[in-house]
Parts: sequence; C-alpha cells; structure tokens
Amino acid sequence: MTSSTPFSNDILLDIRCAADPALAALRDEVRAVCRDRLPADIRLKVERNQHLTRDDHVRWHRILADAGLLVAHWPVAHGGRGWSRLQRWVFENIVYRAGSPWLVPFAITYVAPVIYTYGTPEQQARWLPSIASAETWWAQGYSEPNAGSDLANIRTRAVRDGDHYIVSGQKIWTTMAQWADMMFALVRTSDTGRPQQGISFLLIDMTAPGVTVRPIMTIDGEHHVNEIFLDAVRVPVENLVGVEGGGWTYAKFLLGNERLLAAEVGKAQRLMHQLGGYMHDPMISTPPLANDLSWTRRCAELQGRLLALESLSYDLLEQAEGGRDPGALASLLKIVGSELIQAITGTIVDALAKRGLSMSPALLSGATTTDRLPEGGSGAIAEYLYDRAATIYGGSSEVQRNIIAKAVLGL
Amino acid sequence: MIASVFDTEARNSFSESVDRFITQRYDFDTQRRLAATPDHFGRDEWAQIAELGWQCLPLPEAHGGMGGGAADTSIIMEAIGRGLMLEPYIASIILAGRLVAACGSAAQQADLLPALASGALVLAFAERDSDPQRPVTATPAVDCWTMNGAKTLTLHGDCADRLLVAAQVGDETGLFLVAADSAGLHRDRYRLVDGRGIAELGFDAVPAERLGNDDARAAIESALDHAAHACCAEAVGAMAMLNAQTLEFVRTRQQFGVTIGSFQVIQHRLVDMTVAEQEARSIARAAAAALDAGQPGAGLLVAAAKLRAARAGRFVGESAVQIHGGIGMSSELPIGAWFKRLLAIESLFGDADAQLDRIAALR
Repeated sequence: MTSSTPFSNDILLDIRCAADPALAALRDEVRAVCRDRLPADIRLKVERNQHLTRDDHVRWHRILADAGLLVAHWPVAHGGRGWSRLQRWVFENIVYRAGSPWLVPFAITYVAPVIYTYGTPEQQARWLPSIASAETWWAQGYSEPNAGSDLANIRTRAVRDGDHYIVSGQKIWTTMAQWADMMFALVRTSDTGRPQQGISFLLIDMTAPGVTVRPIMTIDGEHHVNEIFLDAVRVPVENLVGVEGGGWTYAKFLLGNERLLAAEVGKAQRLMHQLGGYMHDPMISTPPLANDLSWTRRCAELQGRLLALESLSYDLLEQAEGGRDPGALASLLKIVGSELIQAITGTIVDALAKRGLSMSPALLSGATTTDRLPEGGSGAIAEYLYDRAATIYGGSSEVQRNIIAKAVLGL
Repeated sequence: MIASVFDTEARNSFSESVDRFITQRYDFDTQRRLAATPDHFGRDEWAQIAELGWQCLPLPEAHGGMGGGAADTSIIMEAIGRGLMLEPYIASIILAGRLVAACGSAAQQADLLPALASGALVLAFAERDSDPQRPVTATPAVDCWTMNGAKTLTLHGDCADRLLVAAQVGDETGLFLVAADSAGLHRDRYRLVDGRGIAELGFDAVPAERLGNDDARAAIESALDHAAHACCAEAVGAMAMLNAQTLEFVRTRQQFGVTIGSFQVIQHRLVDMTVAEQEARSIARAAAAALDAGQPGAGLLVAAAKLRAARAGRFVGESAVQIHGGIGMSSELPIGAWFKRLLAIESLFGDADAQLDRIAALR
C-alpha cells in the first residue's frame, strides 16, 4: 500500500462503545488479538487480494478458537460466550478491517446453529467440538442446476434404505467444497404436498463412496466453487438433522443468520482504504486522482453510503435482537451491503483503468513476479469480478426485493 | 443509546402530542391556505405549538427551555416533514435559539430566549454572504455597530421580527441583531420551491446590536450542523409520508384489471424507496447521537446524513410522482408538495456536492 489516508473511521462503533462498556471491552479484546496474533503473511495476502490456501484459513481460525473468539456467538452451553448477533457482527467487522480473511461461515455460523438448535444431543456431541476447534471443514450443499433462487425446486433425492439414506443428485456453486470434510445438504425426501415440505437436512461425509467434486473456474480465474455429483451415496440415518421434511424450516433459519451478517462493513472499510491509497498513487495518475474533484467526490459518495449502511446495520441488528423477525431485515441488509461492495470494487477498477486493466493471475497465488499495476491491483480486479456474485448468492437481490415486498410492504 | 431529556414514556407521549397537532390541526388545505398568507406561515399555529412546548424543547433550562438535543428535536422535525409545516422552527429555534444561547450576554439571553420560547419573537439567521469574496462587515459606531454588505438565502428572512446576522469584525466573526424596519436594510422577498419565504438582504450602514462579544465561528458551525441535521430528520418525515401514500396508492389503483402493486417492477421500486428512507433515518439518528454526545466526528456524520437525505429524498420524491402517474402531477395532492419540500431541503445548509466535499475533508 502506498501512502494513503484511511477513508473510514470508527466513529459509529465508538459512539456505541461509549454507551456500552461490554461492547467496548469486546472491541478492545478483538483489536488486540488482531494486532498481536493475525499472522503477517495472511494479512499481507488479504491486503493484496491474493488467494488464500486451506491452511491459511485453518491457521487463523485456530488462533481465533484459541483466543475464545471463533465461536463466541454460540450459546455458553455449547462452548460459546452467548454473543448477540450485533456482537458477532461487530467482531467480524473489526477483524475484516484489520486484514482478516473472510471467516468461512459454513461450519461456525451456518450449520452449527442448526445443529445446536435442531439436532439431537448425540449430533451436538459428535459435530460441534470439531467445528469449534476448526478441525473439520464444512461445505453448504444448497444450490442445484435447476434450483438457484428457486431453492425449493431441489431434486437431489434421499431414499430411506434401512439405517441409511441413499442420496443421488447434483449440487452446484458449492463454495470451497474442494477442501470440505463434510457437507450439509438439502435433499428431497418426499414429493407430496408443497415442494418445501418434502425437503430434509442431511449431513454428508465428503469422503463417502459416490461423492465426486468437480471444480468450476469463475470469471476471476480462480477455483472458489464446485459441482458435486452424488451417486447413490449412503448416509447414515443419524445424520438427518431434525425431522424428515423439516429441512426448509432449518434452511430459512440458517439463511436469516447468513444474510444478517452479510453487510461486510469491515471489508468495505478495508477496500475504501485500498482505494484511498490508489487516489494518491503516482503509478495510477500524475497528478494524483486525489487532486481531481470528480474523484474526491466519487470516493466521498461511497464513504457516505458506507456510513449509512453501517448505521442501518446497527439499527436493524438491534431490531432483530429486540425480537423482530430477522428475515426481512436481513434481506434489506444484504441488498444494501452487496451493492455497496460492488460499487467500491467497481470504483477501484476505474482507478486502476487509468493505467490500463492488465491482470497478472500468477500474482494472486503469491508468485513474486512484479505487476505493472500498483500493489494489490490484479487482486482488486479479481475481487471486483468475484464480487459480482455478492448480489447472486444467498438469494439474488431480485429475490430479496420480492421478500421485502411481501414481508414488509405486504404486496 | 439516545441522550434525551425525556424518558421513554415521556418521549412517546410528547411524540403523540406532536402527531396529534399535525393530524388534527394542520391538514393539507390548512397548509396551502397558510402558504398563501403574507408571512407564508401561520402566526396562530406558531403560537399553538409554543403552547405544546415545541419551541422551548431545545432552549436552555435557565431561560424556561428544556435543554433538549438533536435526538429530541428530531421528533418535531420529522413531524414538520410529515405535515409539510411552514413555520420557522429551524430559523428561529434551531439556529437563532442556539446562537443566542451560545453567544448572547446574560441580559440578551434573558431578553430574547423567553420570547423565542413563547413564540412571541421570530428570528431569522442570515449566514450566507451574497458574495463570499465581500462578506458583510460590522464596524463599531456610537452606542451600536454599523453593518454593510449583502446576505443571500435567509430562511424566513422575509417576515422575521428581527434578524440575526453573521458579519466580519476584523479577523473574527460576530453575530448582530438587526431590527426588521431598520433604515438602510433592503429585503427582497422570494419563496423557496416548497413555498417557504426567504429574503435577499442588503445592508447599507444599518445599525446593529452585537450578540455577546466573542468570536462566534464555532457557535455558528455548530448551529449550522444542527440545522443541517434538522433538515435530515424533516426529510425522513417527508419520505415516510411519500412511501406510505405511494404504498396505499399501488394497493388500490387498478390498471389492466389488477392492482398495480401486483407488478414486480412496481414492488421493487417501492422496496428501493423503503430502503432509501430507512438508510436516511438510520444515519440521521446516528448523527443526532453524535451531536448530542459532543463527538468530534459528529460533523462527518451530519454530512453523511445530509448527503443521504439529498440522494434518498430525490429518489423517493421522483419515484412517488412517477408511480402515482398523472395524479402525481396534480397540485391538489400533497405528493408534489412533499417532493418540493425534499428539493428545498436538498438545497439548504449545503447541497449534495457541498456534503461530498465536507466528507472528503473530514473522513
């Protein structure tokens, strides 16, 4: 990073903390862990938007686990600290701001709450400890070729055969499944009634015979997502979470958690910081973009949107804590947050385009060749390309608007 | 989280009383009638809301006020936006009231603040110089000061009983009280796009009384932050009404044999209008909390809130007219009036470009 002025400050967090000593203590604890224990090599990769390995992720997750932070949002009875969603959101933003990789949520934030909310004591004892210690890697088996936004249309079938389900079908867009030990999946166990009623929630061993993972390269040139073929995979009946046919309920519960945390303010702040560096970078423009009124206003527009998103997030998370149905609130946050991240990375691309949009993919894997772009440039372009998915995954922005129109506006 | 002179119960009850005034005493016909009077607001209504405690809310307790902050006056400002009220609350209370409390001598405070609180006195604050290169100046004279120069865009300066004017005094900025009928004072009267009165003021050796003795720059900056914030809360109230009425309209308006609210393109537009309103409300609340806590970064949040009020207000206003179709163009409906109020708010106390430049400087 070249000399740069940070675009963001912590005023909104600091106002909260001034009135909430527990939140202030949390903030200080998390900042200290980031300062003292976030490995420099991992932070550097994140700041350059380079690709991380499974080991990078696991190393950092285990440090957070050791510091008592990884699953602090779980109930105390299951080894957490009973953090609220607001506290978890504050935690995530502080670590992202500090250069933490994306905290891969499939295990710690998605499946674990389903298991401790709907699972049996045996399932909780079997699966939760290895998630809390970052030993098992989980993937999310939701989307299928004909079930994207229309998730209830899934066709992957689980047929009961004695003590097992025989699972056959195909999952797609499965993030980081190439590293997964386990996958939680929505499968069809019945065709009667509404499509949602025949769906069940199964935990599938990725090493079981009949599971094939095929990479899908995305437009940023990287291997994030996969196709998964399930060919008569035998899954023990004890891996059914909750009741047969209850999967849709658990999936909606999970999606509510997913979207509530979807406004990645800390990541947006980090990207704004990167943009701030480019504004002063002579490699991009001489005189620098920072001397150009149209560019300072573009950045200020993004900064204003970011402050609005952050204040909206606090208000809506407080409403969710106050008992309001988090579903529609989460949809709202997902729309605003994802569109802002896209606007920021799009502006970074516009800044880089002053020098010409070259891209050196080898740099993203940590190769030490030099780039003709300023540091982090190739990675920022990849980030922009991959972030197009932010308005697609977890329910596209169009589907979120449908949800709000129905749930909030009553249309 | 919210610093307030009210506990929750008192806050709710004050809020209900404010709402009651809007719904029972200030309908759209009343508003249009008052806009057509010479003052372009209602003197009787100004006295009525004084009895309900609106004016005294942010004024200091030592002079009969309640000492409320931005979070408290937001209750009133949102209602002013909902009811399209024309009365000079920002000019006389948020700006002049705060400035008198911050800068006035003990005698001036005792003289002016009770009259502001009771509604007996309406002050307007002339801040913006017509030509920033040649600001209004004040020079000492016998027993008083003499002012020269020109001010622009003075909200309610057309009809205020007295004017509070910022002027250069050497290297300092001073505040000066000017009688409305002073010799040498020219008042060109205009109206904002939403019908409220403004004045262009010319000072030709106008006699004036200085408010206090100190440099008023910091107090003026703080008062302008409060005024900009008050506009944000007012905009939230206007947007809430536009969204509520547009939602009601699409539920009942039929075209092609169905309600137009059944069309996805209409639904998604309304969702975006709702999101815009909620973002504007959240950042305005955060800015109020920062102002009331005396946070050094409050100015940044006020700028972000005013920017959001501009962007969201323009989008919600234009969308409401669009979705109403032809009837949205009619001046018989308040839709256009809320839209014009939002346009006026956008232009007051720093437009979107000014807020962007402020964010760029403060970030």
